[in-house]
Amino acid sequence: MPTPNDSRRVFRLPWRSANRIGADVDDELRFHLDMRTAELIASGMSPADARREATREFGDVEFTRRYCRTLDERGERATRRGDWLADAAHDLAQAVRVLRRSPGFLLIALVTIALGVGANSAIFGVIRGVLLRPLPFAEPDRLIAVYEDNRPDHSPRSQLAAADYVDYRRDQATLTDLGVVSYASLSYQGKGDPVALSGLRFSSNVFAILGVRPLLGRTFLPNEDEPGRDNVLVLSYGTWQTVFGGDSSVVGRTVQMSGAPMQILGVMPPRFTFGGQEQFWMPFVIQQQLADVNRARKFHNMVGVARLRPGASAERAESDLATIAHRNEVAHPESNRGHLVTVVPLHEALVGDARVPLLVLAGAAACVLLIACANLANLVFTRTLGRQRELAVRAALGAGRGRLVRQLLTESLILALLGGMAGSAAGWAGTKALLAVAPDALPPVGDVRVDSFVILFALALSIGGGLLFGLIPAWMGAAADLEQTLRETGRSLAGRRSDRMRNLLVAAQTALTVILLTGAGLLVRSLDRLQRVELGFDPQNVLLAEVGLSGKAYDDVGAARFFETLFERLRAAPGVRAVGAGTSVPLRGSWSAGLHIEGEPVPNGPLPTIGYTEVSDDYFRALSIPLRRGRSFEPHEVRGPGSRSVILNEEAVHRFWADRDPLGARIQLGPNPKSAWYIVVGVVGNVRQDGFDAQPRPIAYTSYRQEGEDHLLLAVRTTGDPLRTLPALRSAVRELDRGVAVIGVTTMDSVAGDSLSRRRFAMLLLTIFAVVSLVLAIVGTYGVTAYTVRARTPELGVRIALGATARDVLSLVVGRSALVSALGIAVGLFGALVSTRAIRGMLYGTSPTDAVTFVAVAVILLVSSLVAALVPARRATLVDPVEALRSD
Amino acid sequence: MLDLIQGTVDVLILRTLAWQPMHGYAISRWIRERSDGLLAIEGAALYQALHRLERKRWVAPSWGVSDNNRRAKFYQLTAEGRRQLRAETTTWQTYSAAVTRVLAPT
Repeated sequence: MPTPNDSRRVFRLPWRSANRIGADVDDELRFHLDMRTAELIASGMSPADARREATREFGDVEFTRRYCRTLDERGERATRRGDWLADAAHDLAQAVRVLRRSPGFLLIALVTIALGVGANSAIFGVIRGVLLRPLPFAEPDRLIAVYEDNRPDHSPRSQLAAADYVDYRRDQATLTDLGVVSYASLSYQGKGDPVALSGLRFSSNVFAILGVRPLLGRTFLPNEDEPGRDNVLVLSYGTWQTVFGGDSSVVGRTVQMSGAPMQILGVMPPRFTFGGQEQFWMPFVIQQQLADVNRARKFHNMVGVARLRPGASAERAESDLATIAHRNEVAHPESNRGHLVTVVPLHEALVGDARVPLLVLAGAAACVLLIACANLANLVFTRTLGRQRELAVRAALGAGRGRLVRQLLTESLILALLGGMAGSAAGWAGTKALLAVAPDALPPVGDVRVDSFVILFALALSIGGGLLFGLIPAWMGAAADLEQTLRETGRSLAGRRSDRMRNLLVAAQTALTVILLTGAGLLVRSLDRLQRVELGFDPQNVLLAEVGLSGKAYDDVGAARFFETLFERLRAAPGVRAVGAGTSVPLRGSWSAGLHIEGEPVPNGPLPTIGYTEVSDDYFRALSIPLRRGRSFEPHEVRGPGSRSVILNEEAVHRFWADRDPLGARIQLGPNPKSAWYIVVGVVGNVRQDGFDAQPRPIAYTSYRQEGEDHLLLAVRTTGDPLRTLPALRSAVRELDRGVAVIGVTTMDSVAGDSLSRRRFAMLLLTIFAVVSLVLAIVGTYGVTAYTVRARTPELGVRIALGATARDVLSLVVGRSALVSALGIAVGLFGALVSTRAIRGMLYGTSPTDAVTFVAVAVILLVSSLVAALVPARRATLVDPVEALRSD
Repeated sequence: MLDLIQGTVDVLILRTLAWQPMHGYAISRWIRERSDGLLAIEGAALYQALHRLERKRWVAPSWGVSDNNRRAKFYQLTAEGRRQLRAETTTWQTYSAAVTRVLAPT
């Protein structure tokens, strides 16, 4: 029976294969020939003649067959295309309709995707900017940093000495060139107050080694790091803009820097930095240091930077330089024994510290994504089961399984696309927030920003995750026996298999959350420990500022007079309780010196090292460092021919005097065994000199006056806000010398804060991730329990009708959920045990298997998942049995 | 028997199907009978035309059973085919009237 033309649209005739088309054409033509033959036979022809006549009448059978086939196949293809497009449009409209009908589902799904994707793309943006982006130098893979491997101090990345550097540079065979870098600071006196600038000293070849060109002017000539030719400098773009107003005529001009004339050679491009936020680069002159036998191999104040020859590896360069280092060990045992060389890729040297925390955070972000995906899968799965009746009806009306899956796929795709938009927006916001939270927790050489790559990453992640975790559960949902569903009048749709899958997902979420929470918990405890560390001094209400007379016409006596007068005037200022000064302050590190105690043999190698800081008389009082024995320095202790005074910390007494009273002992400091004798006059308490997480080390304090120091870090203890003392400090300095700059102003509190900022950054992020996961896991548990209650309402109704109490129902529903959570928590604790080792290096005073953290996390998760199950379970106790039974 | 002028096969098929859906063989017989045996469409030309018309969606195919109980492909005029038939019929009548007028002895 013929069917209407549009039948295909409505009932969807099956598509025909090419074989089928050929067979149909053959059938049709054979039918015609057979009919005509029969007719001719009926008119009296013999069968053979009739067949021949019919074929002759027909014409070219073979051509017609081919012609019809080709035409039909072409038509078939066009039809398929048309059908596909029509179906897609139909699916799209249907999907939009369906999603609009359940805005709650849509919202939860989108928020879930956005959280997971946002966290990941933010971290990805940072990792890309910091770890993956090559350094902004020419052929950055061939750049290396060269350190001294100081074996006696167990310090593989210490600084090089000048003469060793010269040997390395002359005798190496694996580098195109080796240069050295060190810190520098200058003060520039323009029209107003002097401006403090911090920068780097570069040996004249460093710019060439890095392969960078200036934006304006030029960089150093090969001989401009020689004495007398070194009064030149190159400005950073930022300094050029802010200090010199972006005036290109400053190139070539001579300006007063720290009281000496210096010529500005050029300006570097905006993004050029050698690992810090340096404001200028000046030549690194090492000739005086080389000429001083006590400093040439004993004063370590530079880091090497080199370019590998083509084909040479960092390992080969290291063994090349090590050969030279071994030679020097033999030639100069008193300075070089145990001093070898370490070569690391420059990229690692500049951003290496950030690697582990960032990778840990990336792992955490990936966990968040997995949890989000599990949630999504659960959501979609539950929803598909809830829609089984709808799907069954459509299947009964002729939609095949492929067709149904395609419908679900379209929904997933729309969801994923919307999620992708939400996710990239979240990633964008996340990166911005991340940068705002901790601009100084990331290495400045990195270039973190939200670019199209990060957005694409977010989109790919959402679409991939959305499709995978939207489609698989949808497929499984659609796979359930649809006919049976119809017959069952939509009662209990949850099969055992699907139940197991949902519970598994919830358990997995719980486990991942446990791992994240444990990691975050360990970091929180570490930070807490660190913040309670006995610093040994009081960081509150202390103003810090640098005052340097370097380069000005002050002799030792003049410098001492300048500083003592300054201290006196400051003490008279309102709100000032004590004024101290030193070459460094706690948490800012200290210099090192060799220690020789009178009467002990001079070792046949380097002397034991001791920290070394020059201080003013009131230094200990200003920082509230307790005096344990003896006295502090006194005004009469000035530079002179006699012996000098020294004050030790308790760690030095413990290490070198075995806790015996050292007062009156005589020691020598520094690399030169012929240097002056010091008499121990006092002992002070230990302080955290090198940072919160570094144990106190032995330190020798000497008087700055005895050493003729002309550059000091002032520490002013105040009664109130220390920054309010700053104007008094500035005017006191100006009154003494208009050309002296007050630089590096900060407070001891913020120094303390800064030294924790990287830890705080990692802790904060990991905590955010953990909390997000916890929320997602709670949503997951809630969702599954709520669904179970809904699906089991008739059964619960029967139970209540048969006398089950609210308590029975509650324990029935919650017990199941608690079991799943307990499983997840157990697995998670085990996973945490294994994975927290990765953050061992980020912990302080906390074991990676810290019991308190593990127990706390387990309790938090158990309680929160119980609460998440209780809310829907309570609804179960309110089931009206009559209603429940009638609802079918 | 007359040879068919190119282009008249299509309109003849459409006209035939306007009567009722039928299979290819029935179409050829119907045309032969209606023209008292004067017009006979060659099988090759008929089926090529039918598949061409199907592709243009002027006729719609469906498989059914013939009078002698064999599986046969039936063609049915679509709405579009019917429109096409009306247009071509008009053209054809105008044309043949014109030809007739020219050829008529004066």
